[in-house]
Amino acid sequence: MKKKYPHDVVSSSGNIGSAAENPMLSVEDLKVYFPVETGFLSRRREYVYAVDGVSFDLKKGETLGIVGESGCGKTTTGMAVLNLEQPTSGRVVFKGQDITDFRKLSTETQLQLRKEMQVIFQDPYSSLNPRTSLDKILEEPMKVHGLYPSPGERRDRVAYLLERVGLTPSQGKRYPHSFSGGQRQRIGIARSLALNPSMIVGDEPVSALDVSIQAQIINLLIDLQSEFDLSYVLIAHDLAVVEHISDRIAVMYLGRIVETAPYDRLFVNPLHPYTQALMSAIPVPDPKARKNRIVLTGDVPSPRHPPSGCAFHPRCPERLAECSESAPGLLHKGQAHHVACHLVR
Amino acid sequence: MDNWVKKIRKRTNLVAGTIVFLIIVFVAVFAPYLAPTHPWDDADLMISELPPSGEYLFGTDSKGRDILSRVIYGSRISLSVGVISQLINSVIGIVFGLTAGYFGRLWDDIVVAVANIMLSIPSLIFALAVMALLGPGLINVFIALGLTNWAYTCRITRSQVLGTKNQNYVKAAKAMGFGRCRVMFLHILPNIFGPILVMASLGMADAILMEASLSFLGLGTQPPVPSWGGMLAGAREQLFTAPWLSIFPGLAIFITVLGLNLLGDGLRDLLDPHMSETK
Repeated sequence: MKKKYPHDVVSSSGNIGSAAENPMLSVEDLKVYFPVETGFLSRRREYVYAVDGVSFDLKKGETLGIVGESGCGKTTTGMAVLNLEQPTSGRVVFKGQDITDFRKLSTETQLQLRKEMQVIFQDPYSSLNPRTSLDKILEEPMKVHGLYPSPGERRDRVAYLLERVGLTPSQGKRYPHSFSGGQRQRIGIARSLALNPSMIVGDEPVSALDVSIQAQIINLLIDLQSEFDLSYVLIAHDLAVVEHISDRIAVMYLGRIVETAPYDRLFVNPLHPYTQALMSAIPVPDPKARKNRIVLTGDVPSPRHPPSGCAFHPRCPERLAECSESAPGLLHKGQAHHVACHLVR
Repeated sequence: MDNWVKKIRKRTNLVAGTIVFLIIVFVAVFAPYLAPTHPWDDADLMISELPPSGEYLFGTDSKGRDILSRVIYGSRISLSVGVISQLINSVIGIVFGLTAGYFGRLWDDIVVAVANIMLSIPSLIFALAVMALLGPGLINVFIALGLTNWAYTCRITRSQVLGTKNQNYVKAAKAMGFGRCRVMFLHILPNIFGPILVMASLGMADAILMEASLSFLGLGTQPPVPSWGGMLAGAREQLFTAPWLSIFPGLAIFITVLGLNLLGDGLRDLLDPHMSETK
């Protein structure tokens, strides 16, 4: 199986450096808290600190991979960027426009923004309306947005999209239940492309699929990126998945980004102990290779009661005294490599 | 396709209910051709209270009218009450249930509170109160019963919406900028229609019984138009001297309501994903 490596992506998506001043998406100190009511008689209001101060930029044509354990807030981050979750505080700026208070924007602006940002979900089974045929799934967004006004144009576009993701236009009359998981994920991708977006958030787009199909879908995403001039935010719990497609990777732990770096820097020189532990967990296809596995003990703490100081300190093999007292900020270590850890100075 | 045939064959409830329902519809539609005499114009006091015989299969009533013809025409009342008032119920229940479940917050609290109040009022008393306000008559029966039972549909719809609105295809629809009405009525509603349909078929049976009760109490269909409940009311005093006056309309109510309940049960078994998984 031929796998495409990110070098191709970088060259095909053009000159990344020059776009640095004007990111497509900029997230500043994003926080999303979910209120939970506890107590039987006396109601106490607590919060789940799902996302607790996340900042990142996404350049045009770039792919940012967000990795972390389940429950670390990576999906919520993606949903908040798309305004499918309302941010508690912070700022989301898309193409120079502040979209944090999405509902206060005018209807036209909202529609325009919806058209520009699309989503691919993890579960290919729940992401397609079971009562809608493929043609309708792909046509409906075009109708709502008034793209391709004539029925003929729409049919051509639907046929093109289906072909582009590896299905045949004759399958358009069928309903989602008659397709396999991998095919459904392709349909989900086709749907996300129907509106010609400029950014796609992929929420674990391949996690639910077989490994062989994962590679196909990742390669499809890479091909589509250059063809449709897309920027990706790809969320995954598996570093091995994002390494083949990401230009830059952000590692999240308990609602915060602990390290972010270009993919090659991160793989060669991970600085945060959590990243190092994640790296050591990537399987190597060589039975003789001896690896130093860092096995973390314990579970991710509850985001309802995050630990004091650095959220990782209860599980950190190299913790210092100050780790439980103060939270480290993101430090720039050169070459776009940022890390939040007291060990790194 | 074969799969479907097999599935339906196993559902005796569904088959029996559907057959009964179709027979009632057939009888109601073709009443003028099926009834041997006119249900009220052909009254002849000379032949009053004749027991069932070859000439008058179901006998005649105290005014000398053919009971078979009256039962056949009565199906029109029962069926139209069942269908129309349940349609009103469903529309009200779906609109409130959908919006309450989808928007949540204060609107949800209000709708749930009103629905709970509706459920705690005995429905016959409520229908009686509405009839007393509007006055007797068939149209008013539709309205009274339409306003009475919507809370069941509302609650079923709301709970289904709560389960469906977090599905990814609903999120995807929002992400594509679809309006709230489009999401609610075109993306959520078609996926929760099964339980609503079951409720509707059971609700029809309920409405038919309620109409019979209202007519029995003299507030429903007005004479001389025959309705099964009204016929029972008129036959009350001859229950022992001429029992066929009450037996046949009573049987008609019983069979129709039983058929609709079987249909509802069968639909539930057919549409409920948990039941269909176990083969």
